[in-house]
Amino acid sequence: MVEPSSGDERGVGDQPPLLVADRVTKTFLARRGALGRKVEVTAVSQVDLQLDRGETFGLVGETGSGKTTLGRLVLGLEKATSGDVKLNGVPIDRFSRAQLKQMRRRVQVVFQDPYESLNPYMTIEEILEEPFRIHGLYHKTETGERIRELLDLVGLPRSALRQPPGQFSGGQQQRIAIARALSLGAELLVADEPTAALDVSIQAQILNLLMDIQRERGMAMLLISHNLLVVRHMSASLGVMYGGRIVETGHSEDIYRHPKHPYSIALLSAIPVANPRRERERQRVKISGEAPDPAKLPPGCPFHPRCWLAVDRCRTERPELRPVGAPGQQVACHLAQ
Amino acid sequence: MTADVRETAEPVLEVRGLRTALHIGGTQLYPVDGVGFELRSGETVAIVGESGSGKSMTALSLMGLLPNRIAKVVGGAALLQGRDLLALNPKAMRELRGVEISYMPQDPVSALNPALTIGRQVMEPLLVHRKASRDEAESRAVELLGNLGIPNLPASLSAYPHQLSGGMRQRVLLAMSLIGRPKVLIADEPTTSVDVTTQEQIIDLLWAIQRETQLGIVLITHDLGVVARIATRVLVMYAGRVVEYGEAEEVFERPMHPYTRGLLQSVDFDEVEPRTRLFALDGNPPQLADLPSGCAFNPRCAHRVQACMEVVPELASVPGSQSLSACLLAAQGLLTPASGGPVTGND
Repeated sequence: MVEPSSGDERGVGDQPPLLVADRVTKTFLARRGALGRKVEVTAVSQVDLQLDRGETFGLVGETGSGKTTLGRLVLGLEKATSGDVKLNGVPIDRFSRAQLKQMRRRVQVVFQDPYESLNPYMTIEEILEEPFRIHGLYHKTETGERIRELLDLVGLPRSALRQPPGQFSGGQQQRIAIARALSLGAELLVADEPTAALDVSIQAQILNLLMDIQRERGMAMLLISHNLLVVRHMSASLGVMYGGRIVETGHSEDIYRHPKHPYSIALLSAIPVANPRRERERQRVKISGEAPDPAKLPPGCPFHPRCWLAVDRCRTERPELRPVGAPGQQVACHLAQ
Repeated sequence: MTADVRETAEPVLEVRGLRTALHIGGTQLYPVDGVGFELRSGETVAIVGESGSGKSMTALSLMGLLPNRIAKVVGGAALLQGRDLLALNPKAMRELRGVEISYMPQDPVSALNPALTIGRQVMEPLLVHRKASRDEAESRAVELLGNLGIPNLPASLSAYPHQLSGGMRQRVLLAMSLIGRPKVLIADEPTTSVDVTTQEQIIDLLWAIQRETQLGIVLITHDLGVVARIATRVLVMYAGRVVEYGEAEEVFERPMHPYTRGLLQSVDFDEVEPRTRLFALDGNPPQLADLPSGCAFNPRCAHRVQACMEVVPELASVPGSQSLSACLLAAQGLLTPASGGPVTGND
């Protein structure tokens, strides 16, 4: 089971958990405004999370919530300003070159837009061979065999090998990107909005594929999405991000059935139900305003300017995650109970 | 209820048999093929479909905004209060655009001019059509933008699009579309590029404006949740054709085309156990240049019979339903809930 991290890092048995984020913070310096003044942008602030082998943890949030930056920190594409990202108990900052190269095999990513992430001038065969070549693992017959297995795994015909990605639909391109990510036996897949660019009828296909592959190969997945329904379906546990922080975390069903943070409540309420009768009958909680610019986070609780419950304390004192509700559920709200 | 009034009221926009041809590389394709619907004041017709289904091309065809070197309306009629938009010359169409019928494009980043202030852009429809003096235009812009939730007016009139958040840009686009007080708004994916809490605000605004002004809205979207929230009637498109058309509640509760059923089932997370396989339609939406013979949906259809591969089904009534469906089986009453798997919300 994935337990939302509470600081103690116990994995399955004696092994450390596959992935741990320990008070991870990332700030950027960005130029803002007409004068181009440098301002500090806190993209991710003091985030803890833990993911065990074979499990899925979902990160939900809107634009600027920090979910993508957190994914990039986990991938080692960004270096944490403070705190540690640990793989198998070792902080990735302290990896040797050899360990880093190994990490690149074991931690892989699938992005939102497959069209942007596949080289249009390469054939599918070349795209799938590339990871083997980069890691010095290319072997003509063995690699060919592996690539055909990968195509079977993601449900593409062998005839695809000779064609460039442009010959394929968005859903098929995403299958190719997934095959590439898994080619060297990834233990952890970071899937950043893997279905957001796809047609409605294709989304379920790709989500099914990710679940099937996970069952077959036992890889862990960090699923990043703006869609709470998708995240809830795919992951046993999730974290709701707002203003760079995880504001609620716990088992997905608990959060879906009984969200405790006002933002989680509002987010769930905002998702329209694809049924006019149910949509009309259900109660909604409406909030005004927009998700905050990470360069201009309000003091106190980042959600307080939009929160209907906010009291003075929320405007000055930043709430920390604390246990509220079901076992394992934690909420960063002074008032939640 | 106003249902009786609706039945008898004249539609403000009536589209019949719209057909648009696209010339690419010497071949002629029909991205819009026989589309028709009726829109009454104060109602929303949602056009639902996936990429390539023809929903945006339908909008551009109605607005006279097709890329005219490669695309052309070749058939049908679109009566806006009795006047056929498709028969108007470009100049006459320009006179109507923004004041009788407005188009709200999909992407606020490319739809707004980065070099002009939002005030100038919102006032433009009034000034171009000489519907108001500059002062009047400005006061109307301030009022409208204020109603749409833009803060710090009138100072915000001199802001540039890049200074606004995505949600604010979407509101500015909406203001541009509405300032000429059109009778019909065609909104192309108005909530696709914004966050879900902003989406809710935009939909609620459209709803409020509609109730106040009796605006007729054609909503183009792929988001079935948004459709459920606001649509009066739903038109489902697939490969350029209408495959289902009916009252929103009827279409959602008793979908009468296998494609509609599949779409609804694939987003109904409540019907499946978490972390188990979702219902998924097989295959991919077809390419227009490579349509299968017969029903365009037949290669993905679980109910297909031999005739589906031979006959292109017409939109027809379905026994026991008020919806129209372009499915041979539905027309014969053979597409029952039992044969089509669970029907969303039918308890």
